[in-house]
Amino acid sequence: MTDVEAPTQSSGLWSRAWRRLRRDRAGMAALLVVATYFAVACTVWLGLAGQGWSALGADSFAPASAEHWFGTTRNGQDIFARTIYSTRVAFEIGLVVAISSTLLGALFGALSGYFAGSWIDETILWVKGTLDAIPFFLFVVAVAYAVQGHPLAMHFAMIVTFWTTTGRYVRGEVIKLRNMEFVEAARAVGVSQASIIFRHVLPNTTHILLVQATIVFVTAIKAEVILSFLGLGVQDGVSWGLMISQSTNEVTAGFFNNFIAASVAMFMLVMAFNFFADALQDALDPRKVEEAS
Amino acid sequence: MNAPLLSIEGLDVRFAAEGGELRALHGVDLEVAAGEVVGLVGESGCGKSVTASAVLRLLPEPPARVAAGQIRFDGRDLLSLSPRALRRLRGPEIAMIFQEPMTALNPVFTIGSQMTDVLRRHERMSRRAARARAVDWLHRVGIPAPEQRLSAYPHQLSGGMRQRVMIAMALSCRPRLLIADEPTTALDVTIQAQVLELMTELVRAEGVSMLLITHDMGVVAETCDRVHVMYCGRVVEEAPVKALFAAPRHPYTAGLLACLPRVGADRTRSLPTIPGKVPELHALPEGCAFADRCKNVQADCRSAPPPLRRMGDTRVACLHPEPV
Repeated sequence: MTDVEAPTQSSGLWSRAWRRLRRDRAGMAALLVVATYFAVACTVWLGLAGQGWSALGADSFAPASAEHWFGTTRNGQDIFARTIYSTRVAFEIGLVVAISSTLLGALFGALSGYFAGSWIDETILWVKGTLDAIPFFLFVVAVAYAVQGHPLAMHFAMIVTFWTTTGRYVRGEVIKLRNMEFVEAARAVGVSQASIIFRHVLPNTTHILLVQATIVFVTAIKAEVILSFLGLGVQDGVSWGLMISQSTNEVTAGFFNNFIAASVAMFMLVMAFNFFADALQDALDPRKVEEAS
Repeated sequence: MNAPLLSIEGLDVRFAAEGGELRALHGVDLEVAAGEVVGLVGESGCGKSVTASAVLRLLPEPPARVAAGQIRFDGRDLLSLSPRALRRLRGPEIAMIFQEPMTALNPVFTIGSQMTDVLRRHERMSRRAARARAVDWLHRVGIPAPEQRLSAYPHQLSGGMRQRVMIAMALSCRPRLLIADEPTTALDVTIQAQVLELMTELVRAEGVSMLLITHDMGVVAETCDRVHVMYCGRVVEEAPVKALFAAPRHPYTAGLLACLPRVGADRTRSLPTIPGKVPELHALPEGCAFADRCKNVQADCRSAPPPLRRMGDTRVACLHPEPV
């Protein structure tokens, strides 16, 4: 037969993307850094590290030593323990916001795209437009005020504002996909509409969702720092933002330990995640998949 | 002839457009008997695909609207089926093969998962049984090493292979009618012949009826029992293949056949053509749509569109048909 190819080894979309990602050195280094951070966060979750973050010590502004690796704050709290514990807080916020806003964006983006032009689409677009029109920090202040210091006020505000971008990307992709013949073919074998949208069309946007989730993850961590600095963020606990906020009094007195520890910890995670998001985007780019075959 | 499996009567489909409705079909009459292979031919835009999509109720509504007519399948009125009944019809009773094999398979799922999905949905088969059936069908459509192919993604297969997979998928649910909408148009000429032959063989072997949509008279001659010729949203002639090729009655059919290049013809002469052009959908003439291009045209052709009339084995929508 003329149209037979030699059988190829298993080369699914994912194994192929993984192979390409592995060739990207910066991407792999970034992934390693993120994994290290994640391991640290896990040890905190398991109660193995960072537990003494709130204990007040006798000596304030102690320099770095064997006992206090990064020194202590004005209140004599161990800065290392606080930095470590904040890693967990950062991952919590990043994961909750990234997962929730990606799910929301996928759901409404898919509905909006599949029914583009109908009242469903119009309604979703209207809600999206309205949310996008409100300045982010103003919105967080409003939410924080409305729920009176609820610990999840910040998460809620971020989720509500961050899903719109994901939703827009998904909508565009779904509008493209819904006109492809496999959608009509699915209808022609009796697949229901809901199943077509969520089981046949949506999986085709996974590359967008994954990349968007990593971007939202980083954005959420950065936003947490700013919000906590403004007193709108983490309410009970410690975070890099709170540490930087606390350090404003110390820096004027000439003590930089708190400030540097929190800034460097946050900067490295955000940088690494950005590099990883970039590498992931390249690895999952469907156009490059075509090239490689 | 006993009651046909599929019968379409007076089907009138309109599309909402700027400045009024466009009549894509006006009064299509078509029949497919059990076990019969029926061709539907006509040029681009004459309504072949709209007719096919209308049978499976795949037309986007709106903008499309079935303004009049009936579609009956095995005695059931397809136009009044509930969405649920419709989903149970699509696949196990009527299956469809599309023109573009490159995009007709979902790029992110393996061939195997797409094939077994259909079987599990409609036949309530177990995973293993569905897999076995899928392998069997891939084998029957001539795909080598079918077990391994199950885990392949669509982009790893060539166009011809994908179309074979589509055929396997469509027939694996044992439908009673297969609608093939230009199934070979997007393929290389050599592959076209193979795929066509394969489809006809399988359809005959399984006793499935087939409605084959094409613009290729050669394809019709090779595969069909009966042909419907469409022009401007209307069936203008219906005849057994042999009769059609031997003695076309409608001037349009006659014109089409005259246009076919023939082996051994005088190559210094240019191919004959049908003069004029197809009228626009929004400016269809009052009478016969072919009147302006027809060599037999007379005054009465322009008053009303002629109905299909039986003349021997043939039915023709023409007041002044070609003599036999």
